[in-house]
Amino acid sequence: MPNRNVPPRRPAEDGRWDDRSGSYPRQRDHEDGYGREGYGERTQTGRGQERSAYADRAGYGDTSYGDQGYRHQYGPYSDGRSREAQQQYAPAPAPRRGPQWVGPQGVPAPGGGYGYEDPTGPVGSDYDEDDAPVGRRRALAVLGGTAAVAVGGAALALTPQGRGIVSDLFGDGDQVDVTADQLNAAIGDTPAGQQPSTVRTYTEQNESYMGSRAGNELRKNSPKTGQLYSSPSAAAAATKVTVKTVLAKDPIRHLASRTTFGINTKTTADIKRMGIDRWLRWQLEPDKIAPTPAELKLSEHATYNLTIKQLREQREALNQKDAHADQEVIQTTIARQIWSDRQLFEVMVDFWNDFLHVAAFFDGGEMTRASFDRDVIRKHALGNYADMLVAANRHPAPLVYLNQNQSTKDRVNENLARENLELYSVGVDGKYTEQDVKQAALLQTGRDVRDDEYVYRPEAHYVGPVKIMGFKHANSSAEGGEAAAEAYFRYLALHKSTARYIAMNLATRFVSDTPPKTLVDRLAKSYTTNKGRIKPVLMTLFSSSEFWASVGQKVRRPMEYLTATYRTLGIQPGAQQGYEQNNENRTPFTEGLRQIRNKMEELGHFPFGMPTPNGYPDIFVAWTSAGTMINGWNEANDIIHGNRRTFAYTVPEKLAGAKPPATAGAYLDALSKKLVHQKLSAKEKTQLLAIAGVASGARVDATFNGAVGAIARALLASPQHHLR
Amino acid sequence: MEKKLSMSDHPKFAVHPDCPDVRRLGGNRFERMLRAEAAAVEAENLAERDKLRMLNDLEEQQQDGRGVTRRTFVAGAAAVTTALATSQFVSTRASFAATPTGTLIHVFLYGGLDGLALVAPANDPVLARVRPDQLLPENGSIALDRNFMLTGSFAPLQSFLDAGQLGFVPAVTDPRLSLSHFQAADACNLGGLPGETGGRGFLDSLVDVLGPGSAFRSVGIGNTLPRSLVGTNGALALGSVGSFNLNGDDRFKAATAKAIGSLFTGINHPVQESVRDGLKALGLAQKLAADGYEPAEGVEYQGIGYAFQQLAHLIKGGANVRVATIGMGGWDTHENQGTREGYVFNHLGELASAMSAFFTDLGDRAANVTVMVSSEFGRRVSQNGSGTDHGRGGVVCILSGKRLAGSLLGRWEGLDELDGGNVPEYNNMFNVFGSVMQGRFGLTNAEVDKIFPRQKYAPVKLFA
Repeated sequence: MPNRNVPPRRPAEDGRWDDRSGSYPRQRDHEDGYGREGYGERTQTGRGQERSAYADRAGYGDTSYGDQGYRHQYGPYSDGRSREAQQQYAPAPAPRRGPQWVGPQGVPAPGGGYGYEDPTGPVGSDYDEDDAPVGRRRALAVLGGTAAVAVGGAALALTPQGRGIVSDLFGDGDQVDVTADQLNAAIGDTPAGQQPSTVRTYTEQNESYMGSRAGNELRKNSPKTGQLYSSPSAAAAATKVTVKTVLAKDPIRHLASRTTFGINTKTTADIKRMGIDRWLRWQLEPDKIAPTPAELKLSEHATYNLTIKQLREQREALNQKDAHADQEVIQTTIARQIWSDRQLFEVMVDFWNDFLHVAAFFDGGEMTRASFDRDVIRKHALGNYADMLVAANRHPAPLVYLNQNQSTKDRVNENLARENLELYSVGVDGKYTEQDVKQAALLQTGRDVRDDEYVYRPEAHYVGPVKIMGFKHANSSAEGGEAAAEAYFRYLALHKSTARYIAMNLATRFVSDTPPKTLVDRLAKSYTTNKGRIKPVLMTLFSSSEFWASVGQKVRRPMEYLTATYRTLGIQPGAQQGYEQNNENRTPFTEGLRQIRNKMEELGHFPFGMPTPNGYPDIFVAWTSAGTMINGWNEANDIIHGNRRTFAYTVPEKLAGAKPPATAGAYLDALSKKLVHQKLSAKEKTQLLAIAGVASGARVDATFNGAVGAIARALLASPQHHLR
Repeated sequence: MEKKLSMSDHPKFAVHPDCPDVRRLGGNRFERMLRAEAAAVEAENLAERDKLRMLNDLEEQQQDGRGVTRRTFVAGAAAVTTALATSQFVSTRASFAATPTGTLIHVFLYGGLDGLALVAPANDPVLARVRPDQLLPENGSIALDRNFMLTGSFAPLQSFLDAGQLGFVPAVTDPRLSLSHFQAADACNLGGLPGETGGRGFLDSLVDVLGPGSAFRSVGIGNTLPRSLVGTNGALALGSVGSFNLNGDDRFKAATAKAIGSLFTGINHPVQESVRDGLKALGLAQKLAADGYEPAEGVEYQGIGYAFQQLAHLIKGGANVRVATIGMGGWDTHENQGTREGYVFNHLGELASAMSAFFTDLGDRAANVTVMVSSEFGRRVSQNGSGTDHGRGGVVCILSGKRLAGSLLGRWEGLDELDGGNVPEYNNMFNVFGSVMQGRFGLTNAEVDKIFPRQKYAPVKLFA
């Protein structure tokens, strides 16, 4: 669970809180004439605007409230405060009254309910020695309490039930000085501690969504058996695609579609020229792929590639320029998805960002999220998952996002430990128990964050033997605790349930929302044999007949729909004639990317944007909102007609070439080849030609008698563009 | 002009629009076709549901010792409804007049409305001492029960107040809300902290309980969905009825929609249904927009009223809206607040006029509608310069077709002891939300509990 569980949305770009039409308080300042919509804006008055420019103020820190202060004056939510003021209180929180999460149910006030006194006093190890035993006792009682947790109701430490547990185990809870060892031993013996964990903070969304009629239909389309071939090209050649689909059964088109953020002419040409095997090997060495011109423009973002230290040092200057690293890393990611030649790498980066998920926006993430993308995810995306998991557990972003920085041996916070198991390795069905979670949480103590950087503090580390599923460690010294936990993470990464979980997720991403068991088994085996190395697993995937047989089974999610639209239309950076960049903090390129980011936020899907640690669902059923669909089709229309003025586009009447065919049927063939990379059936063509109201043999001019834009848009609303 | 419906408009269904069986379904032609469709779908769903259960059981048995079922949702009922909600179909349970279970509209005031500028205890010495410039004036304010006053700018709602349909709950908050706009608004909209709710909005969880319905059963007026509607039930974000439409050249819109629908036929992929359902919703919205909208006699919509107008259009047009949201900004009054006759007075007046216009426009249908107005937090009791600062303990306002238990609702124990300078929590926000939902939709306590998963629901008496 993220720290405070809330992604603090950036204050509206210009500091206003008036656009109420969105889930994000953001002004829709489309500089190139999109116009404003939404009721928030309509109700604005000049005074309304002043009123809400709280971000411009010096912040609440100005006013001294003394004892009358807010509960959360020093809390981490004060987004309206100046960042300097906020910085004073990060990352080690000052004494505060606020929700204290230890486990998924949190810690209630004495007497039950959600009281927000901190029952154990100040967080962290800076407690008065005299208070220590009380704090420790209560912390341990919390551990004990949550051992009996069950879905929908929690026995929490300071509730009557929690106290009852301690009382049951040891006699009168309040009087007994319980050590961690004793309590853990006691928990271990209770039936509750032995059961597989039933606490699900997040539902296993992919699988649960597909237990439905839609899932059953898709399952019918998946082959029951499959086979591994010696190479991807051998598999492609040998696999007979028998499923009924409206996508062309062309292995090159299929490969291009599944391994990129959208087919474009260059990709299919490259695969044809190099051959499937060589192209894939090329894609799997992204460092050897030259950056494209658009990638060279990424440095127009002021925070691009800055280290955490540099971001902190340059904070003032960057704030002046309204340059925020957590926003800009999303924009650079979008640019890469659309324009990089390292497409398979980008797909894997997106995959891992949602698997080992840390939200794009969260309290304390502004300095660290971009680094997480670069130094953890991108660094290991085609490397070894064990290395990635270890790196993640020594990076400030997840440690803050999931409260590890608040966890010490005297006050253990189990969030990261739980999500390491539930989401980042063995998965919710991986057969770990509540006791395992507790033990893992104890083992992970000592890992902390100072000045937005990782630091290991031996004095906060719990010492003592631990056992988590099949992993045992003496954990006999504080100094050795870091290495002990690292050994545990490597154990987790290579656990056979992790292999299965990753295999399942990979198969869902690349093959089908209901991936065939034969494939999942094969991928899990490959992962285990290769000790967590990702490239061999991908090669196994592409050498499997199940992959090549799954033509037309996956549906583009909103972000993928948008990138595929940009790619197939051949949109390029390069402001159109007459475009004026008004905001001097941005270039046309960064402005354009910002607009794409806004649109993706509207569609509810942007790079690592899921606020909760489970990441975005990867199955189509989760994305079937009518509003999103219409929004996507309308955006396609806008892009076709060059309304995104920071980008160069091809006018619709030239999409099919400088001199398009003169008959309707042939013109439509050319358009469909260009936009959806295949021919359409006669029936499909008739349906589309009806838009222009002409028959296949009719003569049409370069504008398709005025309908070329509409037909192009309809092609981008067709199954051939929605399915991938 | 009503287009003459033919078999080809609804190829799936064997019922001819002029068939007497269809006539019996009542309403206008359009409604009848949709009801017939619904009946067919209901039957299909029932058959599917049984088949589904069987398949699911088989599958469970096949799993090798997986332990807990994968479909254990914290929210319980969501599993089956989500499974079947891939189609946004009309249910025969819902009729096209406002249904027996009705419509809930949540108006979210962003910025932190000063509750004491809306309703406040009359002649309160604490208020007189610490916020002399932001006191509701005795002359011009409207008297409420229990010695409270209501701002005079709410005069447009006087008739509803007199009819017992307008009420206010003071001192509303929850300990999980901080004084950050973002965190607090998120927590209000989610019904708790994100980890507690899995990131789903409380209104989305409510829709689970209300069951399947039309594509318009949950609507957010605005360009993007507020967090309260985000989740698994496919809420629609509508800037306006007219905007839920294809853009581009008018000449080709109808043909484009038709072509897309034809292309998504027989594709052997279940996404086909979702797309076709979206097109149906589009068709309904286009028809409503094309018919235009005339509010009832004497009703005028202005400012935030335009948002209400969209809902009136949808509700009266038979779109069967069950849950809707409207957002209104401009409440973060740190300066020049103007409670008595300035900015906030006028802003509240705009809201009141809009609500009054809406209910008047709905006429009889208002009986099945409840409007609930809330903000992410309130403001401090004492003034600060010409305005006020973020504070806890705001106000919830209810305008309801059903009679309320009074005009001042919930607990109130005075301002003698403030909570760190704030109005104390006399009424828990989610208990109030839950009570509104319970009163509007007839939910049980257990059903409300499912919507706010990490707390025990304690009803607040709001309705008569």
